[in-house]
Amino acid sequence: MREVTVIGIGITPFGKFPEKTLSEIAWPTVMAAVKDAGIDHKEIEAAYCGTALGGMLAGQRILKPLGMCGIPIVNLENACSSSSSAMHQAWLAIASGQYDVVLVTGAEKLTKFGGGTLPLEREDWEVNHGMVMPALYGMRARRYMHDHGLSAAELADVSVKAHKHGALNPNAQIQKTFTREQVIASKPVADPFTLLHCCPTGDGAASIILASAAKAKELGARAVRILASEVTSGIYMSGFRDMTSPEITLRSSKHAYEMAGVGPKDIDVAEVHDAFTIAELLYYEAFGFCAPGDAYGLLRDGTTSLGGKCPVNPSGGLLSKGHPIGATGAAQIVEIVQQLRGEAGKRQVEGARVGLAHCTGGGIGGLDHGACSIHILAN
Amino acid sequence: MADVKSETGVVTDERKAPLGLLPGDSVEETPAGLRMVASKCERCGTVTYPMSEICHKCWSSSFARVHLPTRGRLYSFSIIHIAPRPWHTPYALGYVDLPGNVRVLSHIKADNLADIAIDMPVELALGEVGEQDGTPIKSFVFRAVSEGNGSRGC
Repeated sequence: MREVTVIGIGITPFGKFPEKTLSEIAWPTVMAAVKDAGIDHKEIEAAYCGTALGGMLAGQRILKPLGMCGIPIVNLENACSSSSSAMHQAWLAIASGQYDVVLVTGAEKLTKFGGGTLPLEREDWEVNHGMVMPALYGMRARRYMHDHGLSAAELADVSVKAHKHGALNPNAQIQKTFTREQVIASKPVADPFTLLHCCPTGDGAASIILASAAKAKELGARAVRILASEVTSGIYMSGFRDMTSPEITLRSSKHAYEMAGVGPKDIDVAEVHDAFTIAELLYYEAFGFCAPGDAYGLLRDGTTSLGGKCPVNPSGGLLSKGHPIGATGAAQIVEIVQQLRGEAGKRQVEGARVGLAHCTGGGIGGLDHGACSIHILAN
Repeated sequence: MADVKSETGVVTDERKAPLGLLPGDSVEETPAGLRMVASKCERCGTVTYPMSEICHKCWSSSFARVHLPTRGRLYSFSIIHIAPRPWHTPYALGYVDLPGNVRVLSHIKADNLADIAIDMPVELALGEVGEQDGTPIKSFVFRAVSEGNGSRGC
């Protein structure tokens, strides 16, 4: 397999844009990535578009105004891991030697559904019986709090940190800080979560251009190396499962670390799937940043805040940056690339050499999550 | 061109269930009381609810119809305040662990939602969980075990 690099990135502010189409939200990010890569868009040989609910031929609708149709375009859906799955396919296409330069784009327009919880697949038995994503994560939170003595106030601190970071991100959907008390006092959603424990509904897009290491050199492009690209699905269990131990991320992270030849201590910055506050704590543990039950300690002592040893979600995460689900995977990778290039401005993690992007896609019964995708990058 | 608003959360799964409950469910009245019917793989013994035509562990399609125990333990739960139609909010949803290594998602009923606690013993009942076009939606539910209900059977 050949070495693959990221040579261009583009992202749009996340927020609510009901008056724009998915295509209008996304094509500017493609253009920005092309300009950032310093290439002619005609050099792009294939495109992989990740969207969960964007509808048929989303990639083609996005690339049409740019006159970029005519190349192979593949649309991928893996719930919230859609665009990181697209990234994986793009990586594979170059690593295998099929192409030298490809585009990844992730886009979502959740405002077309109005407000409320994400519309899950109605044929899923659990969804048909009242399951909504906040409740699933709420159950994880309740069990973790029961098993490890985490308090509601401590859980709220995840949101406090997320918004502190997000306030430094000009593209974040929410750029406001909140106190612990404000988090706890926000509107109840699914206990123990109030609104500020949950990622907001919104729209957004992000794009990435990948090139083989050799092609990047030939182009004289700034290249960030992809050390690992990993996608997997959750294992169906019909009986007991420890909901505080996210099996899909545990498995996926092991593969990703092995592929990259790094371990938890080597990660300088990480973007993980904090769709709800409890998730971030579970992932500190799943990635081996601390032992099971000790996650809050990393938050309390500032290790995972900007300025700490391993900032997690410097972008503000899904909680503050937002979670237009198909766009999230690509957006996390864009953040990591900015960090590794030293372009993250007020959010810069000093001296970041190795970064990790992780997202999961959930919503069907009996699986920890349906999908998980991890990328490890280095400068 | 504006995107068309799509329906969220309306129960439209066309499959029918006995007792007119939610689709995909198999629950029946017996002389001993209400029972959930599960499939037990005849080759490896794995029990699944809802029922399946293929064993996810060993691919056998040979199943016995079994009644699930009516009492279990509440592994975890959440009280939901925001949900799509047709559920009546607030409602509690939880995972019930039943003997035989079966875990089932269920509405959890209690006189007071605030009394629901992790690891509490729960028992099977029938309950109303929502409403669609004026018709109440019934489902199997699990509720806190009431004291003084001696032999509920299993």
